Amino acid sequence: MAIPLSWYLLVAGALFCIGLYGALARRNAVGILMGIELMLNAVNVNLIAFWRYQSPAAFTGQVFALFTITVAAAEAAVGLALVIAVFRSRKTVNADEVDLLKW
Amino acid sequence: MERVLNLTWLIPLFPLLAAATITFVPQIYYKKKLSARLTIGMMSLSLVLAALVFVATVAAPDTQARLQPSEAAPAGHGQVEAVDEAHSGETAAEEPFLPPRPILEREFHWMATGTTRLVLGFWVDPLTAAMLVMVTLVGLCIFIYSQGYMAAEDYQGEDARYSRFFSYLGLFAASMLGLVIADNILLLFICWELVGLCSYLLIGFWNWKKSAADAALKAFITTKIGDAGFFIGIFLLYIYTGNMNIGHVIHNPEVLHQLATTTLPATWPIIGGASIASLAALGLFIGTIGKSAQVPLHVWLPDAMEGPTPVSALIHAATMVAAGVFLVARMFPLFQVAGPGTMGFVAWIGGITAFFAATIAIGQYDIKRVLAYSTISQLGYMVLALGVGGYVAGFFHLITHAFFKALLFLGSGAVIIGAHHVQDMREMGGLWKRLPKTFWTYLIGMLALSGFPFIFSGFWSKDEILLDAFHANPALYVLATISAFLTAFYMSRQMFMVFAGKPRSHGAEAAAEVPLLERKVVRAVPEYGHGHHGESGGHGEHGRHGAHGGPLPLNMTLPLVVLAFGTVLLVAVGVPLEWFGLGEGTLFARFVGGHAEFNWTVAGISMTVAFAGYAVGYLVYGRNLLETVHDPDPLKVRLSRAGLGWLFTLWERKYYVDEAYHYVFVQGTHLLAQAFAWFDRTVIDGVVNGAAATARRLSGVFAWVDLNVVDGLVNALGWFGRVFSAIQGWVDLHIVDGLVNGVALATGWVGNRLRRLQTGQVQDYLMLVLLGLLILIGLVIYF
Repeated sequence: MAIPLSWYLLVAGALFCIGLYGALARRNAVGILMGIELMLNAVNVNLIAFWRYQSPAAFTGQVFALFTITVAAAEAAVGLALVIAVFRSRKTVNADEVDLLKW
Repeated sequence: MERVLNLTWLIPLFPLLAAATITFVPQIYYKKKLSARLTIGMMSLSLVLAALVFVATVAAPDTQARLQPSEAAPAGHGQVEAVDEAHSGETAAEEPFLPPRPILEREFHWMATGTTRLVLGFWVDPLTAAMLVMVTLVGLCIFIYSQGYMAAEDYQGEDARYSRFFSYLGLFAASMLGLVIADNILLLFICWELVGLCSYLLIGFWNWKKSAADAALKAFITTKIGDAGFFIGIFLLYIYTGNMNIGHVIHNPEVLHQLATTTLPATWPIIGGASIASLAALGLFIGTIGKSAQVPLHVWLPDAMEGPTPVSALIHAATMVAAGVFLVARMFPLFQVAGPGTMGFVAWIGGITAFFAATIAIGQYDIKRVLAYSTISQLGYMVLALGVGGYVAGFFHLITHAFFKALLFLGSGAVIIGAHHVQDMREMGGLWKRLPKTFWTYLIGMLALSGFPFIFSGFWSKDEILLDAFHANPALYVLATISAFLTAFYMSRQMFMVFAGKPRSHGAEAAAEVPLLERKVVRAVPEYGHGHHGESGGHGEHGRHGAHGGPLPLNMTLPLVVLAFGTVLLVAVGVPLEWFGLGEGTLFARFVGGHAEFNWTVAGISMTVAFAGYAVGYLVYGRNLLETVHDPDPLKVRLSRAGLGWLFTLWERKYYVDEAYHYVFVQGTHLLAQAFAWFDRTVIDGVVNGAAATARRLSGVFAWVDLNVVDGLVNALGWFGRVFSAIQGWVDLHIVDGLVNGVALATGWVGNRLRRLQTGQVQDYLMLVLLGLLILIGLVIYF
């Protein structure tokens, strides 16, 4: 109780922004995936914070967070599978070089 | 006796039956001999019946009373004056001569329209009885003669026409006999027309010859002109007497008086003031002019010689042409009350005809033409007689003329056939030795015609006429006497040219007759040209059997003998009975109820004149017998020497009457037709064509209007349309398409620019997502 909620939200936000920056600016595909993971975890933190501080009795927040973790895991798996597929086809993991849909 | 008289209507019926049978029954039509025999048989029946009727008429009390000598009767004139009824106040003693009443009259109703009834019937009176016997006897002789004559003719392959000839003859006989017994003027007219029809059929019997067909038509049309007058006469009588019975008029003094005093208003042109009687009589007389070939309607009779000779004998000598005279005799009382003007007209027509035709006869070369003109002349005599009131004389001459003219015609036919179809007298000659029976009978006929005194009836009848003319009008008497001289003259001419001298052609030379006493059977219908007559009459050198002709068979020569006998026997009824102390008149005169007298002066003159004619004939022709065909006519030679050759030419050319008629009537009609055609072509068609031309011009104007004005408008509208469409085209091209293209261009440009967003870099897309999210959040917060 001593830590105000806003501090958890700021941390979550900061994490999110960093993750966002990583997803947008990193050249390496894995790095982008790391960024996405980071965003997802930030969201998790947000969720837990709000649960704990708003309605700790209902475990909706916990379930939600579980969902998010699961989704993140699945998504990471799929994403990595995609990177591997791309790498096998294009021989690169550099996101800038995969621009076949360029005009 | 009454029973016989009741059967009078059968007399015309028998030949009619024969004609109908031949016409409608092919089995008979194609058997020539049967047809001929049927007709002859029927005619014989008619003859027998006619003879019985005649005997009955003679035996009738009225007739017997007349035939007995009457001491109280004054020996007055032979003729009766014309009664001028208009002045009947002064001459009240004169009554019109009324013929004896009929012995028998039977009528039947033919047709009824409303309240009017047409009644037809027959009657028997002396006129009828005499005509019946004459027609049947002469007719029968001619029928028998025709058997031989018509067999020698050429039928152009259609031999059955021989039967047709006999059917026509039968129809003719029926019509003529019907005419004679008719008691009703309409029935008489019907029979009159029927004989005209038969004449047409018979004249044109050789229908492949144009001349025959033309002659038939000429005869029919010319007589038809006369018939128009006849019909008017009938109309007048019917209107003013109310019925058509002849007896009602002629046996009825009141009716006669009424007809004579009813006159047309004097204000009418030409015929104003004339009595009905005279108009009706004139109308009837015009019929006679046509039918009995008086001048000016005489032109058909010479042409009618185109028909076969028996036809000429029967119709154009003995019977049909006599019908006209018979009509006048029948209606004699009407003529009398019609007044002296009408009677005078009749007499002068007769006299002129007698003279005119006699002169023409002198210049003719065809044997039948001479006889034709002679017939016209003799008919003129009969008409003359009736015109001067000589009822008995005219009628007696009719009867005697029938016999000797038929004889002459049949004789001429015998000559023609015997001489192998030679008709021109210049080619004949020397026939008296070769054709004896023909010659003697012809001589008898010729002497009768020319009035050889006492032994031939022609003298008696002609003399009575001359006497009546003498009493009536000296000028007419002189004319008639001169004509008698001419008659003797031209007949002598004919006799010398035909029979005397030497034959002038092969045909005449080879002429022959079958002798009367020949024992071999002579066929009734000789087959000429088939080489069969080596048997019959193989006389002398004539082994030649040409195309037609051979010895004349008995059926052609015997009728001549019969007719010759008749001519002589008629003397008996024409002799004045005072010579035998039996009272005045002659048997014939008493029989028909008239008077007759004898005057030695007139008789002496006529005898002299006849002998003078024979003498001049001998001097001119007998002593200058023609040697060859090309010898000129001796009379012509003599006249030419005296500067009168033109006279002979005038006679030879028949006074150019036919030519005159041709120019006036035929050419006149042509010109009229041409004038009308011109009118039709120029005026009427001009109007029609003018209308068409106007219509065409009008349509031209309309076309111009249509072309220039209407089409101009249409074209102008079209131009505007084109302008609008050009504008629209521009609009469409530039603006509309511009818009469309502009849109497309804009889209392309925007797309071009926006395409750059598609970097294919995932991270760029993520960036855009983020951007959009931020905008959305902003929007949510601030709105």
